[in-house]
Amino acid sequence: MKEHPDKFIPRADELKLIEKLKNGDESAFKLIVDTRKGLVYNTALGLLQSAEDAEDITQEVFIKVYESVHQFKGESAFSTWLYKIAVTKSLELIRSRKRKKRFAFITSILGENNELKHDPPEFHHPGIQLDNRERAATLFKAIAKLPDNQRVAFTLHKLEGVSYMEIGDVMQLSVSAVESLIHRAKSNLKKDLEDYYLKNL
Amino acid sequence: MQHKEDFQKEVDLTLNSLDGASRAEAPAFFYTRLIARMESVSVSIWSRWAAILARPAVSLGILFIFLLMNGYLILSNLPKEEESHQQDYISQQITYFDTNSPNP
Repeated sequence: MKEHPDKFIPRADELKLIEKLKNGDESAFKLIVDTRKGLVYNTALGLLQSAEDAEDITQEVFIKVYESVHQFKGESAFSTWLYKIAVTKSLELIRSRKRKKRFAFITSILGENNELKHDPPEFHHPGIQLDNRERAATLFKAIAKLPDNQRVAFTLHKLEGVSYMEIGDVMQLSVSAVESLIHRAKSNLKKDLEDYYLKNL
Repeated sequence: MQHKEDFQKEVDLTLNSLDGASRAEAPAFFYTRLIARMESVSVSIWSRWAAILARPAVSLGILFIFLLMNGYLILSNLPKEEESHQQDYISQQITYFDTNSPNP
């Protein structure tokens, strides 16, 4: 299991920080952003595959945290709450992009000037080692074709090292449902990669 | 046969290519940009409201509702017909007692 121990704050201390934030403490907000921005950014980056969009969504997540911290009751881990917001916001952006793409396609048929955008450029995650970069870029292309729920489960597990139980909390699914999602994601990715390498190897 | 093995190996290597990846860090000065955005959002909320209120349809609508409420308040405060009859009767009685009173 992958762990990201950088800037780790014990849960009790984090709960104190959240209480301070609820009382309007700006320094508590800064500390929360500093310690948790990596988690949110990496999740958004994995799902959106664009550094610019990921930064935008990370900002939106922390604005949401600032505005709705009173809704966080501490029943689940703070990281789970952050993952939930990051996933929701990233999926909203992905869906709105898809809608725009579809609309652009229709208007291009109707003869307006909206041109169809080509496939996005290859995405290179900055945390991947150099010898794996090309393979990871191919994998990210295949991940982008997965259904939303499989994409979320696979990305959280593979990129953030989130446990099946926490993914279940984030997606409001049972552990067995998460296992099944990841299994289906892997078999879909395998099929897609086989097709890809049949043409390109 | 060898080609098939290479092919499967490549697929498996690609599938596992995210293993060992480190976390991508948010860009430098992220907090500064976040705070700037939060401030601009709060400003833009007010400017958005001002823009909405400045629309002719909205401002005329608000004026119409205001006039409607005024009209309703005026009408609801007018004395009813029965009340005005009672008032007429009382004033007639007062006039009658005034004119028939023995003392000037």
